[in-house]
Formats: sequence, structure tokens, C-alpha cells
Amino acid sequence: MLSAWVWELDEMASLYDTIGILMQLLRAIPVIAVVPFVLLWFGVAETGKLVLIVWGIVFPIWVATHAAARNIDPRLIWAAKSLGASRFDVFASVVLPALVPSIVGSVRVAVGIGYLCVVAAELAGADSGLGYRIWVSHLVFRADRMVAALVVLGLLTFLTDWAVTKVSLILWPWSRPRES
Amino acid sequence: MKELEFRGVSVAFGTPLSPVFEQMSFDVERGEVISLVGPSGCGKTTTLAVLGGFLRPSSGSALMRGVEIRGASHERGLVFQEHCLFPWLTVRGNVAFGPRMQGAGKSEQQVAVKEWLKRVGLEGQEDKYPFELSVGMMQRVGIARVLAAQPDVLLLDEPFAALDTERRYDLQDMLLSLLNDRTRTAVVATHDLEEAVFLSDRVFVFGTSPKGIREVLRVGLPRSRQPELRYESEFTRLKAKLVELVRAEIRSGSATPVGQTVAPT
Repeated sequence: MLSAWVWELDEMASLYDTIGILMQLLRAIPVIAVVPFVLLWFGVAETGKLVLIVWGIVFPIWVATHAAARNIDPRLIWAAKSLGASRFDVFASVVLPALVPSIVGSVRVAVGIGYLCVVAAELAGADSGLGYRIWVSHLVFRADRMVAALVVLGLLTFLTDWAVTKVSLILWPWSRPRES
Repeated sequence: MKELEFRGVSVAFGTPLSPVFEQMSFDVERGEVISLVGPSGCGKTTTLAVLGGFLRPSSGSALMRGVEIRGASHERGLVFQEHCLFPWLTVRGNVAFGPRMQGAGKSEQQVAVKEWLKRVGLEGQEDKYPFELSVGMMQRVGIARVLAAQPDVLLLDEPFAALDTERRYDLQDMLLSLLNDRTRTAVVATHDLEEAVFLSDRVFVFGTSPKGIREVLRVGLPRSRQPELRYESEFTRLKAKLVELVRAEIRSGSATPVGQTVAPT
């Protein structure tokens, strides 16, 4: 039955794919491999860390969003158009809200990657931060301090993920995962 | 002038191109209710897609009041088998969507929401999200959403197929009450032959070999129909006749049997 409706989505999908090719090319560079270059270019202070975090989280969010955009139920778009929605209305009132659950899910994944990037930067040459403390503790054989830093890292990641989930449920209560 | 017209419409899909139907022509008067029945794959949904402006015919033209249909429009509202409500909007937001897209102000939107939720028996549910509703309630909201956009034509694709018999009867009665004033035209694709007779002025029986409309059953029952009509002898006779027409189509082609829910009594 759906084959009858397919052409309507093609033009929107091709827009996503064009942007997608550029993003896929950049995404192919592993974030860890970028660390020395970013620290050289932006320094070991907060700017360098920020650049690494952005580099690390943009791509998982993009990939999830891109895949979700390709898989939006076309009937939602047809329904909107048959209710009088313009192209802009379809994008703003259907496509963007339909992407929210995927974006929230990918932000949760990106939280872990963001912490990974921070720690990688701190291990590679910072003079402060949990990664730096783990590295220094390793040099002086202080396993207790290393474990303490790891526990704090785990807690921070867990709490950030919890906060993202809570905020998303407040902002978008309909995106709550449910049993089908 | 006809409300809807198919003039020699052909539609083909796939590689190599396989025709869904060829050179199909029919017309629909304003206020008329038409049902499309037939074996699976016979082109019922494709016909709705062309009428909705979501599918361009390979040849021929589809017209509304003499003007060629070239894209979707709020003049032709779509009701899907599965409600297809916007999950991020409340019932109020879903029903107000059409008026909002057409530039209605907040107060006008609220008037529309209030009126149509009352008409479909869902007052007091305005602030619920679709996931908080039953399947039947969601389908009611879907119908209210379409009607709030004030379409002249309703296109319904197996609108009640996902419902149990009791809810289906309930929604058929409701839909009929909304169509009784003959201000709207409706085209309903359905596998339910009883539903086709109950709702329609004419039933188009599609075939698969050759493809297209093979028979037209004129339902001469009065437009203002009550639920009890289903038990009257004339209704039963028409239903049995339609079942026979569809079975003849299935026998004449190698089609998958229709998902028939009603047997002749």
C-alpha cells in the first residue's frame, strides 16, 4: 500500500543525503586521533576541551538524526499536507518534532562520548581535571586515587544522563519510551 | 460540475513498470459517498493517493470541480487506517492543526477544537496525548482533526479496519451522521463489504484482471441511515449482492482473497 505514496518523500530525503555525505566524510576521522592536533591548535585549556567535546558529540547526534529523518512515517507528512501545511510548516511542525526522540537518545549516547573526549584531552597534556588526576596517580602508583577518580567520573556520567532524560521528559512528555 | 473526476487515469509502479490500473474513469457528485472495494492490490489505496494529490498519474488526469489535482490540499482530508495522529501534540493540538495551518487565530482554533471534539464524543479529552487514548478514541481524534480543517472531500483509507466490531459500528454511525447533511463528499477504501453498503451511495468494485473498476453497485437506501438498517432485508440483499460481485472478481483473477469480514446471511 505504501508504494503508492513514496515519491512525495524523495525530495526531502535527498536534502538530508546531501548534507549527510559531508558529515560522513568528517565523521570518518576518529575523535581520539584528533586530540593531539586540537590541543596543539587550541591549547590544553578549556577551549581545546570544548572543541574536542563538540567534535565528539556532533557526529553521533547527526547520524541518529539523519537516520530518523529518513525514517519519518511518511503518513505524518501526508496528513500535515492534507491539513493545509506548507513545506516550511511540514519541516517545523512535523519533521523537527518527529526527530525529538532520536535526538534525545543520541544526546544520551553523546554524553558518554563527551566525557571520553574530556578525559582523553586531560590525559594528553592538561594540568587539571579528572583525567589529569588519573594520569598523575598512575605515575606515583596511587591506585586508590585512580579508583576514586574513576568512581567520580562514573557518577558524573550517570548524573548527566539522568538529567538529560529528566529534562527531555519535562520538555517532551510524549517522547517517554512505552511498551507497544 | 462533478466534485471529483478520474479521466482515463493510468498508474504504474516499479521497474519494469507494472500497471496498478489503466485508463480508469469515474466521477463523484458533490455530497456523494463512494466506497472502493476489491481484492488486495487492486488499486483502492492508489486511487485515494491520486485523489489526495500525493501521486501523479502516469497518464490521464484527476480533477476536483473541473480543476486538475496537482498536489495535496486541505480541501481533501485524509483519514488513515491507523489514526496517524501527531504524537507530540495533545488532542487539542492535533485537532487545531488544520485551522492553525490555514491561519486561524487562537480563538478560532479553540472553537473548532470544541465543536469537533463534541461531534465525535471526545469532550474533556483535550489535554491528553495520543498515547493516553484507546485505538477507537485515536481514530475519532483523527476524524475530528480532518474535519476541523473543513475539507470538502474526505478520503478514508480503511478507516475502521483496526477496530473491533463494536467500535467499528460505533464509528461508522458517527461518520454517517457527519456525512448526512451532504455538504461533504467521501471516498472510502474498505475491505468490509457491510461497511461499504452501510456508508455509501455507490460502491465501486475493483478487479485485478483486468485492473480497474469492474462493477458499480448503486445503494438505493435513504441517506439518513440508522444503525438498525443493518438488520433490514434490503440491506442484507445489497450486502449479499456485493459479496457475490467481489467473489466473482476474485474468481476471475488470481487475486489474493479480500479480507472479507462479512458473509451473506
